[in-house]
Amino acid sequence: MTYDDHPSLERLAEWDEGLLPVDEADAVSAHVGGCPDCPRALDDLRGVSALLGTRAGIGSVPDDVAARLDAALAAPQDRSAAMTPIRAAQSAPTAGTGRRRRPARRWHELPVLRAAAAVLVVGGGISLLGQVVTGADGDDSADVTAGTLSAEDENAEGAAGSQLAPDVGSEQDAADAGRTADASAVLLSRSGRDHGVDDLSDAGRRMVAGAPPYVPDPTAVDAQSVQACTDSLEAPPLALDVSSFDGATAWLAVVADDEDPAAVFVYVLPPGCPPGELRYVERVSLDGSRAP
Amino acid sequence: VEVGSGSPYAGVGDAELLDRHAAGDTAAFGELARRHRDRLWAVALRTLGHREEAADAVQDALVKAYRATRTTGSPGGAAFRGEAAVTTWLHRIVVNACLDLARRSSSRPTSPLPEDDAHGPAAPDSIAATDTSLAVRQALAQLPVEQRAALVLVDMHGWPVEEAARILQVPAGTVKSRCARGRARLVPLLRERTPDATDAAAGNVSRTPRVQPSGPGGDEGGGQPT
Repeated sequence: MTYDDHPSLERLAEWDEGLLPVDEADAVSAHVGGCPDCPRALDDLRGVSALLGTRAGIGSVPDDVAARLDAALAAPQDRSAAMTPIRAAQSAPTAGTGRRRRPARRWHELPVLRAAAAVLVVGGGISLLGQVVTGADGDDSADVTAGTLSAEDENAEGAAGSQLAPDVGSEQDAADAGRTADASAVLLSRSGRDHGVDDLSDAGRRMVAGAPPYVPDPTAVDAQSVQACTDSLEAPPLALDVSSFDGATAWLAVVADDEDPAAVFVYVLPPGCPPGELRYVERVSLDGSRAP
Repeated sequence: VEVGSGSPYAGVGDAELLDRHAAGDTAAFGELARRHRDRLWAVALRTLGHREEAADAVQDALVKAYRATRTTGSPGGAAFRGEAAVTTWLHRIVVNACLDLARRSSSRPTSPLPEDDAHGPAAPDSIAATDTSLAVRQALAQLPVEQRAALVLVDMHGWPVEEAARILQVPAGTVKSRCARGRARLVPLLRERTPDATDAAAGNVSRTPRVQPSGPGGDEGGGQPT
């Protein structure tokens, strides 16, 4: 490397961060040591770093943003009285509400999630509100829970209230039709990956694509368990993955969103999908899958 | 961690607030958010360069954090070991929201306006300072968002590389590499716009090989840039 053959700024920056292999780093060191220009470039690089350090701009959140955040976080709090775990869905298929409970509705059975959805969906053009509240399975406690949710919804969502009354005993056949799982149609995988809240979106997109580490493996889940998950979710999953969530063994299930072909729900369930137990659910837009 | 003395949560740590939130205390999470939102906002605003997008990202992240900890307890499946972990986790969620948002809107050019930064430690005390701030924002806007996020955390906010790696969920080497490439891209952008600024800043910097920036708190120290 001659003094006419300067390393690029990027290379200098990498050298400065100790990122170059030893032989390349030695070459850059030798050059910089004798070059009249490169120390100046190096100073520029370090100067940029120092300049940024003076521009952190940590002040107070602007009032309007602060108010917005308070409101967003207050909405779930208002519903704390109904902050019950997701209600068991252990009823027999014929004892349902009459309308097929789809995952989009299941979302609303979790008051926290529903409240969050109410916050997040504003202006988004997708109405997740005003869906049927399920219940009335002949289980008194379930009825009570559903009633609580209905009343709350009427308060919160006004006009949507009329749709919230349990609609017992009609068209159950339609609900039954999609509930027999065809295990061979489900993308099964055993990624073993430990998931967290932040990577469920990525997981959901990869699972429906069969992309690594969710390589399809027909032996990952037996047919009986696929059926169990179909029953728990009340819809056949598009994909199931045997893995973990927050360090605990869990299954991930991806279910289509009836109301939006470009979106799916990613459910986190205990292994084997025991009825009524759901650890987490995330709605994932498939449009974002082109992001790196 | 600041703990308001007039608040019912005076003396209550961040990790304890999360535990109370998970146990059903309806105000605990709001308190946690209030403690951290200034810093989270600053990171989001610098990373996205857009006021509305930054507000969206912070709100999205906090609501997500709210429900995640309500439904599954503390993230990681165990109680936080200390306040620093809560700070890192909140930053992780916010920065991820920023990256998601930026990638979704990447088809649209970013052109931050002065009004986008209608906050700050104090009103800039000179026109030169205002110009420099604007120049920095506009230069940052030309970087890929991954480089921008790394520079905002490490160079602007003084997070140690290892901690920034946890926030960004990438190896430390990747953080260093993003910072290095980002700085290399910024030099010509800032040199042409603010010759004085870079020179002045460079004058304060040692010529000895760079070591890890002495950043905030490191591990147990509270984890917040001060």
